[in-house]
Amino acid sequence: MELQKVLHQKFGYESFRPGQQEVITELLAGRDTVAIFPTGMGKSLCYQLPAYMLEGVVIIISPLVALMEDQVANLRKHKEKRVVAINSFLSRKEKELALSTMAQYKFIFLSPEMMMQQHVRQLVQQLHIAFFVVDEAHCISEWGFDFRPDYLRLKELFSFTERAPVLALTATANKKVVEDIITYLRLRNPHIQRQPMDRPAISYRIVHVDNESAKTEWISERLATTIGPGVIYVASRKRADELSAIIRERGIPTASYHGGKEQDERSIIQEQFIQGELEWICATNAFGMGIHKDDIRQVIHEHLPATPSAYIQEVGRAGRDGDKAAVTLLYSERDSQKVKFIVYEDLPDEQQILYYHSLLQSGTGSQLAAEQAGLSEIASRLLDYYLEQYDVENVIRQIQQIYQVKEKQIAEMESYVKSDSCLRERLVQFFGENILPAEKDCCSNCQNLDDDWLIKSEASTKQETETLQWHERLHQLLG
Amino acid sequence: MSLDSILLTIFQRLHGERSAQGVYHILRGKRSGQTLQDVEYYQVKSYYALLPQLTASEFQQALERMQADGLILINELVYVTAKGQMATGSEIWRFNGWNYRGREREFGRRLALLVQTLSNLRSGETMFMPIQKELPTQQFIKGLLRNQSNSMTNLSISLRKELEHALIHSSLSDLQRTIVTSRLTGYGLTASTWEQLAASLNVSAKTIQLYYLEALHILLDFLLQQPNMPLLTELATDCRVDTYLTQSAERTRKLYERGYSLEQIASLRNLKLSTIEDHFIELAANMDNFPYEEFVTKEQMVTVWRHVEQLQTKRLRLLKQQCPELSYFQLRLIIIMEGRES
Ligand SMILES: [Zn+2]
Repeated sequence: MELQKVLHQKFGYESFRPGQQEVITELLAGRDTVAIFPTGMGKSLCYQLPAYMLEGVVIIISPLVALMEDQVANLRKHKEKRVVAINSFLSRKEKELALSTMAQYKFIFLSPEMMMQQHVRQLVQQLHIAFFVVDEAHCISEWGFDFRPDYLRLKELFSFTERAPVLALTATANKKVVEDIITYLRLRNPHIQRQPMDRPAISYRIVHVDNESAKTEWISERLATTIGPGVIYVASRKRADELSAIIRERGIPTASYHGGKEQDERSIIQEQFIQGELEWICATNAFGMGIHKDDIRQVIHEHLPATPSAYIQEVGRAGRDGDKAAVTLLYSERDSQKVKFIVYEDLPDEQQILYYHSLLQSGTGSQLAAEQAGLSEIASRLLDYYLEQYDVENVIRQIQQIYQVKEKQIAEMESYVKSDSCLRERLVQFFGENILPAEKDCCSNCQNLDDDWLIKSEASTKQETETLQWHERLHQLLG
Repeated sequence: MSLDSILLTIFQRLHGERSAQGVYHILRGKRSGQTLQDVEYYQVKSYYALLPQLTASEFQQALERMQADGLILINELVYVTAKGQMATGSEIWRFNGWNYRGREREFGRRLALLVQTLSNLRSGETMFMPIQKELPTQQFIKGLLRNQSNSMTNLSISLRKELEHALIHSSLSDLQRTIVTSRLTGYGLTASTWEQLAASLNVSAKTIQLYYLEALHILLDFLLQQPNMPLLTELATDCRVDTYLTQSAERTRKLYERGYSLEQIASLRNLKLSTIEDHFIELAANMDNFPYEEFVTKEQMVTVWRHVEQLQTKRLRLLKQQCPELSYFQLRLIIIMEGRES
C-alpha cells in the first residue's frame, strides 16, 4: 500500500503506531481531524507523512518556540531541508527573508502571534496550502491547563468557506476541551481520533512523607538502590540545583535542568542524558518538550503538579520504548497549598482587572498598565483578549471561571494523591476514560508491584570514564 | 574570586574617581559617551563589554560581598582598600573586550557546531541533534560546508590540525586548552558543563567561564596574525568589531567632515550641544588622526597634562580649578589625547 511505502522510505518505520493510519487517511481525504495521542506516541508523523503525499505547503501553528525548534530539528534530521520556523526569536532581517521565500518550503512553523499578523496572514493565504496543523490544540481552551489567549484568534483564520483541512493535535484533552477545540477552530464535522491515555508500561506510586527533608532522604535512598535513567521534577529552579548537588555527592551522575541555564548548558545536558552519561536529571517543567529519549525508566515528582494533564504528560516521558517504567509522586500535606499559591499568583483578581481596565481607559499603554497593576505577561494578554470581546464585568466573570477551573484541577490532583483506589484508573478517569486496573505491576494502591527489575546491580554503578588529555580529545573528535 | 579580581583591577585603575555604576556600564559595554570616555581615560578597554549578560543583581551581589570582605569601600565612588589591593592578585587577565564585545561567543558556538558536524560525518553518522540551536549559527556552518570541495574526513583532519596549532602556539595556559576542548561535542564524546569542569578541575565554575572567555579572545587575536588557518579564520568572520563608533557619533562625524561646526551640528540634528561634544570625545578616542588642534592648543595640552601628573587625578572638577580658562569639553579632549599618546 502507498502509505506503508512512504512510511518506510521517508521515515524508516515498518508499521504505523495505533491511530496514525486513521488520522492520515482522513486528512488525505480532506477532512478536519482532531488527534488526541498520549505524549511520545507518534503525533508528529500524523502530519509529516501526509505532507509528502499532497501538493502544497503544510502550515504548523505551534505555541512554544522551544517546541517549534525541536520539530524543525527533527525534520531536518530526516533529511528534510524545506522547513522553516518563523517566530519572534528571528531578527527582522531573518524574518523578512523567511517570509519572502515561504513558497519554497514544505513545512512552515509559525507561532500564533506571528500567524495572526495582518501581513503574515496575507502572505500565507497566497500560498498553496495542503493543510493546517494546530499543535498543542488544547491551549485554545480555557478549560485546558495551558490556556493561550493567542490561540483564540485563530478562529478568524479558519472561518473561510474555502480552506484547506485542519489537523488539531494534542496530548491531553477531555470532552470539554475537545468541544472547545472544535468550536474555536471552526472545525467541520471533524474526525476524532482518540488514543487511549493509559500507558501499560508505566506503573504508578504515591509515597506520603512528612516534610521536605523526608523527600530528599527518600530520593537519595531510591537513587542509590534503583536504576535510571530518570527524571525528578521539582517545583523551582533553586530546588533543581540544590537537589542535583545532593545526588551528585552520592556519586550518581546528575545535572539540573531549567530555564535559568544558558542554552549551551541545556544542550550539553540533554545530549549527555541521551548518551547515557548522565543518569538523572533534576528539572523544572521546562524539561521534557523535545527530549527524544525512549529508555527513561523512572519519573519522580517531588512536588504536586497543578493539573492531571501536566502530570500525565510528565510521567508519559517514561518507558516510551515499551519496557517497564516506574513513576512516583512524593506528597506531603503542605504541597497542595504550595501549588495553589503558584497557580493563583498568575491569575489576576477582580481588583487588578478593574485597575488595569481603568488604566487602559485613561490611555496608559498596555505594557505599562500591566506593570502597574502587577500582572504577569500571560495575565495581561489574557485580559487584553477578553476586554476586546466583553465589558469589564463579564471579563471578571470569565476570569473567575478560569479560577474555578484551576481550583478544580488542583482538587483533582489532591483527590488523586489521597485516593485509595487504583491510581491508573483514577488518572485516566480525569480524561473521561474507563479502564480496569492492570493485573500486575499496576500501582501502589493495587499493591501488586514487583520492583525487582528496578534494583540496581553492583556492576551497573560507576564506570568512571577516564579524562582525556586535550590533544587526545581533539584526535578522538576529529581524527 | 574571579569576577572579584576583575572588578578590583578595574576599580584600581579608576582610583576612586568613578561610581560602581560606571564600572557596570563598562562591563556591559554601554555605548554612551561617558562610558566610552571612561575606558579610554582609565585604560580599561580590555574589559569593555566583557560581560554583556551581567545582571544588575549579580553585580550588586559581588559588590556587597567585596564590601563585606573589606576589599572595597563605597562612598558614592568606589575605593579599593589595602586589603583589596593585596587581593587583586598578580594574575594578569589578557582580555580583549574592546575588539570583540560579546561576539567572541559566536566564534565559540560556530566552533562547537563545526566540530560536532565534522566529527559525526567522518564517523558516518548523518543524523544528530545539533548542539547549537541558534539559526544564524546553523546557517553559517551550513554555508561554510557548502563551499568546501574537500571530503568531510579531510576537512575534519584539517580542522584538527588548525586547532592543535592554534591551541599550542597562541599562549593559552594548559588549563585553557583543557577548557576549550572540553566544551566540544562530537561523535561519542559530549562536552562538559561548567559545573562538571569546575568539579573535575577544582576551580569555580565562574572562573572557568572567564578563562574560557579569555581563551576565545586570545585565540581570535592569534588568528589575526596567522595566514594559514583557513577554517578557523572563516569561523572568526565578523567576530571582531569593525566600526568603533556609535551610529549617532558616526553621523556627527560625517557632518563635521562636511564643514559644519559643533553648534551647527547640534541644531541640524536637534540634539543638545553636550551630546555632540560627547560624540567628539568618542571620535577623539577612536580616530587615529583626530584634529584636536582645532579645539585646543599644544600649550594647553601640556599644561593640563602637568596638572594631571602633579595632582595624580583625572577628575575634571579639580582640573577645572587649575585651568579655569578651559571648558570641560576641552579638558576631556586633552585627557583623551593623553591616553592616546602613551
Ligand atoms: Zn492500580
